Amino acid sequence: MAGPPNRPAGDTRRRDAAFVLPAFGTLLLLPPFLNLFNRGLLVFGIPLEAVYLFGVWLALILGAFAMTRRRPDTAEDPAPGDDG
Amino acid sequence: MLSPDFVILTAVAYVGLLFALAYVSDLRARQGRAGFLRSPLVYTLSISVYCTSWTFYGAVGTAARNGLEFMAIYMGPTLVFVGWWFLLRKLLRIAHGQRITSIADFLSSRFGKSSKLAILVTVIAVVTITPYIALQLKAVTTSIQVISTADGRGRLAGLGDAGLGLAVAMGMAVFTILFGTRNVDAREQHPGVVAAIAFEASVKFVALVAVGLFVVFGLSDGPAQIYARAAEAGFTIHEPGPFGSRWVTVLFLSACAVICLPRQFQITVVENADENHLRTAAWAFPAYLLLMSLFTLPIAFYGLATMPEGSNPDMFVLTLPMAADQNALALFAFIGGFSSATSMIIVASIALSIMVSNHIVLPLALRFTRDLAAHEAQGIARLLLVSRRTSIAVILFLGFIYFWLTGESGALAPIGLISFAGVAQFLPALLAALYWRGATVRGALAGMGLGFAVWGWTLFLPSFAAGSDMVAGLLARGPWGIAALRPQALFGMGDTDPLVHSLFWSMLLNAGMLVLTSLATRQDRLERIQAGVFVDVFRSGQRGQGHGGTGRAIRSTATADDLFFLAERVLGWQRARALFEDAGIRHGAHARGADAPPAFVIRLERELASSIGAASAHILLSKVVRGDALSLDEVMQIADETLQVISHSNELEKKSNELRQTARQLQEANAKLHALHRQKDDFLSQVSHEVRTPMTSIRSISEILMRQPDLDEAQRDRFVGLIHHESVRLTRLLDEILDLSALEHGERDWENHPVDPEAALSRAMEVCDAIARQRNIGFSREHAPVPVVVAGDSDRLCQVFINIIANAIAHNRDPEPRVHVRSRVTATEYQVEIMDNGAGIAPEFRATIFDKFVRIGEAGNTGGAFPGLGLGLNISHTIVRKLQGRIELVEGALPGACFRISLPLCPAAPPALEGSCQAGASS
Repeated sequence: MAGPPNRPAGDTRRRDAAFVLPAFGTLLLLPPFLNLFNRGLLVFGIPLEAVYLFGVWLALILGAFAMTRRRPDTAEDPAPGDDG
Repeated sequence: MLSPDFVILTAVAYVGLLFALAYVSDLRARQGRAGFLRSPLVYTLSISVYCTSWTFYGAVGTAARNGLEFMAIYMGPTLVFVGWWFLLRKLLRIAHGQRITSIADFLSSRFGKSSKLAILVTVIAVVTITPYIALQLKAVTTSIQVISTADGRGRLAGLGDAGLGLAVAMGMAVFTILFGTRNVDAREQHPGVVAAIAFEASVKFVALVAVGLFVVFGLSDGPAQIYARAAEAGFTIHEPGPFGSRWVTVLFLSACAVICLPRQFQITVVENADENHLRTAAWAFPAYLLLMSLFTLPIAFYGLATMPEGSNPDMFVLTLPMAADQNALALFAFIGGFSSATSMIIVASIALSIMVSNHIVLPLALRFTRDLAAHEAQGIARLLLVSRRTSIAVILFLGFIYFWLTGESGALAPIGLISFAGVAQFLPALLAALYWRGATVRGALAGMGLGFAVWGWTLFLPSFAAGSDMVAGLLARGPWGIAALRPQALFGMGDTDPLVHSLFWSMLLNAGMLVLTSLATRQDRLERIQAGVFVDVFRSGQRGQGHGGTGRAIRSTATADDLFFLAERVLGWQRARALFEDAGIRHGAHARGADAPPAFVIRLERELASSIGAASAHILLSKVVRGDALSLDEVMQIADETLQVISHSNELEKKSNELRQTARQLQEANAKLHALHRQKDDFLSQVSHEVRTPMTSIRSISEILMRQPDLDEAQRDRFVGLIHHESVRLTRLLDEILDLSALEHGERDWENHPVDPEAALSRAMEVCDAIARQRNIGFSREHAPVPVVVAGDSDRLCQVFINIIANAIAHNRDPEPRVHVRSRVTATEYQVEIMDNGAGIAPEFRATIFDKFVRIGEAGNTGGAFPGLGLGLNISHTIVRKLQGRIELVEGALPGACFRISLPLCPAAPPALEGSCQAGASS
């Protein structure tokens, strides 16, 4: 559902980002993708799969950090139905 | 290497420090100087109660045994917090609006404040958390044993595991009771406890990181060297197989657990002071988890490579510093592990005790004692306090029993996963509570009950197999030898991992049952209202204030005194008085017998609910409100009626919109009518004027003829000629008016036949040829190149042509007048252009040229035999419109006016099909 007409477009984009982040995170942490990195390789002496997992983890944290920094409060109500 | 007495003393001193911290924090919070205590940082740290001794000790053990699986335990919560916008934010908003005290309260509140559901959730929570508490007892016991074994048998360590475990459980119980249940708090928020938990989170974090840094950079030379050494020692440093169903299961379970675990719900939702803190926690909590897990793998591999075979990998965090003779670090690590265990036990048992006292003890007490509230001052508050203290003791004792029964064979992590799988049974109902308006309480009860039963059968029961032959036999053969019901191979699904197997069946049956039963049963009114409040929390203008505003019309029969009496016993005198004064309710001697307004009763119910849960508050109030007059059914009825009124008013609004539109249309029609009326008047006056002029001359001439019989022949003839001329003019005028009126009203039969317009044009030109000669006009024609057929009436068509051509001839004042007629055929139309080299039409007349009585130039200029009456063009226009064509003024090849008549071609060109071409019949 569309937001109220006076809502700036950037907010909608950030709300979409709020959805994309966990969705992509989940995708990256599930087997078909995860197993691409599970092939017995070493990166600087550390198994690739461990490096990959920590990398995704760090990316999620940074993404969440970047997203939450931008909006100072949750005071305003979101458009109905966007919270599914 | 450390004396057990010293270790125990340190632990006790640490507990004392925590206690002092909690006390000071409580004090500050009460004085309203919470400040830092209510910061996002403290909130985030307190959420880290998720990291128990399972994280502190068990993760290393899991890493040593199962590789990267331990990371899934932290990835799940990371995903949930990164996606806080969708789930946690809604959860918090609802919980704040509804004054939720626990997850049981949350679910029961959503499903119509159902006591049954609250009891079921409480029972499930107590049973599933038991293994988790056992895990903490086991970790603390083992860590005490480990840290003091090198020093021989100390006094306390000599008790043996069971004795030590019991002692730890008892100590924890006393500690938690002192800590968490000093009073019944107004909103079940415990700032002191939260402060202590946050402090413990920092301690365990620093301890684990210190051990990690020591192992990676003190004992070894960076992580790469540790991996290389482990690989040399023959350990597989890579994942042994592809990530599969077990990884997915653990990821899912941990995501569930961080929402559904009673202690997480307590800290994240109930203790939350400000929704915006979630914003910080969204990234800070995952970051905390990441740092806590960073050193897990190196510690595990270093331990595997260097420690003697058979050492317990769960205790590497402790044994590695000890093996390196770092006693201080080992003690710090022990305190870190102790911190993680105590924080979990404190919060979990407080959360569970609130649930037990609010949802089991209090409803039972209310049922079996007639007037509990009247017994003594603070009766209910005292009952709550006693029942909470008792339940804390019972919960810890249950944990000990589980610890004792299951023995010490298992590692830490599998025990924790049993609890995770248990609390995951709340998830379907929780999600339904948040997002599915149609979920019913029966659906929630059935789904959760079935899921819990399946969990108990497939996961909880098998955990006793090591200590019980009967359970082991059940696992091997199934009940009564029915192999299909074997706990770890339901319906023959025996080749999957037991955890995956259990979660698959329990979730499938839980969610399936919830959905099917919800579809098959109906919600009662209260459920429906609560469902709306929960699901649409962001939609309501009241910010989840529930049905607070809907019950105004109810007539309350509870006196203010009765209510005050009740409020005093639950909330305490001070808070009750503040509440009543705030609402302006008079009570006591001044207002004996005065009724309290219903809105206040509803508000009071919410306040009570924040202390004792929604279901209990509901029961309690309905006992006091006389004759149960304020049944919630009535409130709901009012709410229903309100909803109906709302929907009616919506309909009314729609109706009135329609009416407004109709009124506007009427107005427009009226304006049009007025304009037509004016036109008619104009027309009439024009006609009378036109008729009057010839009539006047006829009358005056005939009068002359009558009065002067002696006129000479020539004069008489002239007068008679004039009379004739004028009457011809009059007749023609009347004919044209009749014609016009007939055309406009469509009274005359009008049939369009296929005709040859060229023939009609030729006829018209023949008629006009005489006048043209008379006026000496150059008359020329250009024929259409092909035979052409249009739908029309050839006489009418001819009339139109004559009209226009006659006009062109009559008004031509050029010294060498010329009229040119050209016809041609385009793709769809037959066009006739009639042009002259006269003065043309002045621009100001172009728009009105086809109106009635419009004459170009002076009115008296009759111009010969065909004086203009001002109706000819109008009639032509009307006729051409009836033939589906158009007549328009265009730029022609000659300098004067050029009229173009366009008629649509008749598709049935061959004359054989004559009569079939019925284009525009009369309207």
